[in-house]
Amino acid sequence: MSITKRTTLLPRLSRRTLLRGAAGATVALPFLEAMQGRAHAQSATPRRLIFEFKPNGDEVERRFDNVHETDFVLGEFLAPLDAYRDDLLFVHRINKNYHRLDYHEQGDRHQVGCASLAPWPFGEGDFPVGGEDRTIGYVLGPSADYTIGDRVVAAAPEVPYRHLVYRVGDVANNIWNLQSHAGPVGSKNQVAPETDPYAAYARLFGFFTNEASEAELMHNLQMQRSVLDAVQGQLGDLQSKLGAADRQRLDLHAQAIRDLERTLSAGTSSEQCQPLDLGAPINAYDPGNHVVLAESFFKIMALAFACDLSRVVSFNWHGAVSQRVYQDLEVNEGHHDISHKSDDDAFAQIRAIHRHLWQNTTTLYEELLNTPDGDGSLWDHTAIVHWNELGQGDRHSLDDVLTIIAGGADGFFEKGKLLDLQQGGSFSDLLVAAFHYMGFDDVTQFGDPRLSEGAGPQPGLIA
Amino acid sequence: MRRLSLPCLLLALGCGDRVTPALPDGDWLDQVDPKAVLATDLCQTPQPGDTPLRRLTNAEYRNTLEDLGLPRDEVEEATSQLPSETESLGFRNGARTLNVDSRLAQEYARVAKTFAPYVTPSCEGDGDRACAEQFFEDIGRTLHRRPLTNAEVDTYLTIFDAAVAGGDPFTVAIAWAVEAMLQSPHFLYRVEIPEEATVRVTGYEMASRLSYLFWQSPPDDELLAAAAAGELDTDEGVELQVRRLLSSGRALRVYEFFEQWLDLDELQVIDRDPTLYPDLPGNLALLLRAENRAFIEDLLRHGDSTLEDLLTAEHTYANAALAEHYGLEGPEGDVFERVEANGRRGILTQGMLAVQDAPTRTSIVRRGLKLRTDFLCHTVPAPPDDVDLTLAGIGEDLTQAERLAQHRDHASCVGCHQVMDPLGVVFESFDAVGRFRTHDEYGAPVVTNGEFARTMDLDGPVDSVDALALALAGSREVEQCYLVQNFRFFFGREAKAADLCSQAQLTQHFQDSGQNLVELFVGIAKTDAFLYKAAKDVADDEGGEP
Repeated sequence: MSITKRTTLLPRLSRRTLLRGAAGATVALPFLEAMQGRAHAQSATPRRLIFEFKPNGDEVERRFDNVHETDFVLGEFLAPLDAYRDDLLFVHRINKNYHRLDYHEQGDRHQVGCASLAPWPFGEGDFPVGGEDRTIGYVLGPSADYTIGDRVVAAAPEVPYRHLVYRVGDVANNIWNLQSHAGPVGSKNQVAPETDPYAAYARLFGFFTNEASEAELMHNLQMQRSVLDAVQGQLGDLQSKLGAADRQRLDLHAQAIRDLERTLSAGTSSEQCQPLDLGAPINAYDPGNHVVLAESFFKIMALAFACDLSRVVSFNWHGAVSQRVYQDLEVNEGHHDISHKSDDDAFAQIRAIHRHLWQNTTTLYEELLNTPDGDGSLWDHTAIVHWNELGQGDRHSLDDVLTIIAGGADGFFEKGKLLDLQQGGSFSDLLVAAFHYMGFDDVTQFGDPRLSEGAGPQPGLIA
Repeated sequence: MRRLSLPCLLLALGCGDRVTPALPDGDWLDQVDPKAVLATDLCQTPQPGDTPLRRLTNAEYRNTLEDLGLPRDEVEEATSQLPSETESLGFRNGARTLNVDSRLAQEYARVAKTFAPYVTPSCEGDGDRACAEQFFEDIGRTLHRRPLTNAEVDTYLTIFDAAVAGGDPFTVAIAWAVEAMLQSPHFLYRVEIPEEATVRVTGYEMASRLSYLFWQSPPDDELLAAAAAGELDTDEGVELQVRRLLSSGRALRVYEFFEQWLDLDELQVIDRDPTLYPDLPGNLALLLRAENRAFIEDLLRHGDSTLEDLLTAEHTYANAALAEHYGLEGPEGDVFERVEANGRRGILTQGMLAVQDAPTRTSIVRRGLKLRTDFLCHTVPAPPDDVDLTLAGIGEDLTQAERLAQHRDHASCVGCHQVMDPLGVVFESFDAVGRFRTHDEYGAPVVTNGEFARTMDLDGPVDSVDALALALAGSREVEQCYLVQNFRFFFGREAKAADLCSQAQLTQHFQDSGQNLVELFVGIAKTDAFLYKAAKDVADDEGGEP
């Protein structure tokens, strides 16, 4: 999980299309390969992983009109996925197992359910716990998207970003809408999602036409490294003078500087890595824009994969406990408030919201299907893990959650099937399967051991 | 360290049967008499509490760049993509939540590269190494907010030398070094070096504490000079600078506290059903934020403004568009002017309400919750998992208030809702876009009869915003909460048991000043928590902070 010793960089840059390094430096090096006297060896097409989050739970009994391993029939709100079912694995009623943690190690069901990408106990904090006279803080450990991304960049140093974290909506960041965490184990470090696709695009893709000479580029790269080395040196000096808690906080900063150093010459030679037109900027916090915002993020995700800027993404349709009012669906109360109700009308509204979200999630599928990658499309080399904070909203259940694994995923996962775990299994063990899919099959457990069944990847997922 | 068993001034409020906050025996107001606390043995030696390393907040970082002389609009543009800080204690500046992760480091690097070429030496014409060295000492003192060590000057000279050796012109070589300075931990954090014992902060550390408290930005030359001269080593010297800093326009930057306290920073868009709220000004969110800022800044400009003014003022600020929205007479242009606003009361009837409301209606519950949590500092549990959060099915022909009243008949709801709804109801005379009204969304005459329950000194009926505002202004509990909110923001952490003496000092100063809003900031600068720093590796109790 630590960053391994840096191996020789092999920047893959087209001579036409250059990307700025992550430090914002125009030091991308199309010449390095030639100077080093070796051609870039195209390795196998990399695998990519997306975690996609939806809030507030759904309606367990109405997911499927027929529950059967192969002859399953998708219910009303999953129907938009029917066209893709041959590439989907429906994991029905999987258990998040939080009941096994001690009372004071966890928040309420929303708080734990939405943190289950980071299946660790919770620390102290000031967020009120539902229905109880106590407060709770953030989880004490990293999320799977972060840790898997960390393994990716350790194994493939030419990939600039561990993970990309996107959210539709919400200007504030809190215990309910932060699904990604950096850890390390035992510490609270939240990863703030990017909420504005225009800014996210500008951050990742600094396309420019290279006009500098080879010598200038080499010099600039060297200078950029000198600058970061100076910063790193000062961080080390300062750490030696501070108390333990602050020293640990600066560890994160030192790691961030190492990330910048590593990514100075990141780039790509992919034909698909070309500038994208997102249209005019729109307000990222206007609830009316949520579909457009998501579509823009989906395009950016596909392009980031095509440029090999990152191989892991966490995308969130709003945060947990989302109170978005779906007036366009003629729903006039907040999503979360409705999810607490058990009557037919409320569930009809919940189904309408989920159908809407699933329908618009297929835009992501189409982006991946339509982007060539290796011998096929991005879809062929991507796994999307769709997850929800809860099983069903009115019960706040955590033992019957729906998770769907979508995408070709190099044929790694079972597909075209429904796996009904009947309130068994382990969501954290499902995350272990994602580690294996990404090539890290040394991982046998992720998160607190009590949340796991202790037998490695969740059985029934891997083909 | 010896710990008093006195209760923290901050009180948690449980719902359900555990209705009463943990109270000491006897009269609560006696227990928190600041004089009594200050007379204890504990407070005879400095008790600074905890002093975690503080990263600059996004606002402080922007101010810091701006105070270098960089153009404001370019700073805004270059820093617009900084990740929003994580919430803690209702604010976005919790010291322990402000770290530097990869994305933020990337943003800092980008901003540094953008602005490094702007920072150039006046001896540029000489173009020699001696000029560079002098420049690093000068600009380093500004950017590190203290004189550089020889080793630090060497670090920057090494970068400069390498650039020159590589063929860069003088100004470019300078810019590489400045790029490093703008990413230095000594620039990005307010660095204080702890010692083996509790000690007073050094002069330069004090200079930064003062400027980031009063200006939300770095020390100016005069403050650094005072530090160099040892003038900040005495309480008198500090007081002198406090008065000077407060007389500057930069002191209005403390508005950041009010904006975050009232959640106005979250008011990005007013999302309302256009069939119910037709013809709203397109930029209503911005108007409401500007109203609050103008109102607060006016209070701060007048040295005699008090907590009572904040809560009960019968005027507000509006431009033509907001005045028309409110139905007030007066302003005609885009500039916000003071307007008399009968029926409106200080911050209570400004944008703070609309932040809490829903697309189709006011939210009585959330308005009440806001008052309960941020004006009374009570913790109200989030709703339990198993309850209906909508009022559907409860008397469709009744008002929201009446339906809430019925829903409080449910045993599982009453515990918490009786502390929120009866406060939120009082605001029913203001609609979900902040306008005065006589009839609610359902066409029924508004009823504003509410009640304070489970408070220290406010319990009883309250029937109007006027009465509510006046009651809050006269409450010791509200005063204490206001001080706690300020403590949380300005120290970036929770006020804990170890801060009892500092809180008593602050309370004493605030009360002696007649609850003067500006004197409160002076009082902060007189606390042990402000003047001293904790010993290295004191028990690092993170309790209560994420």
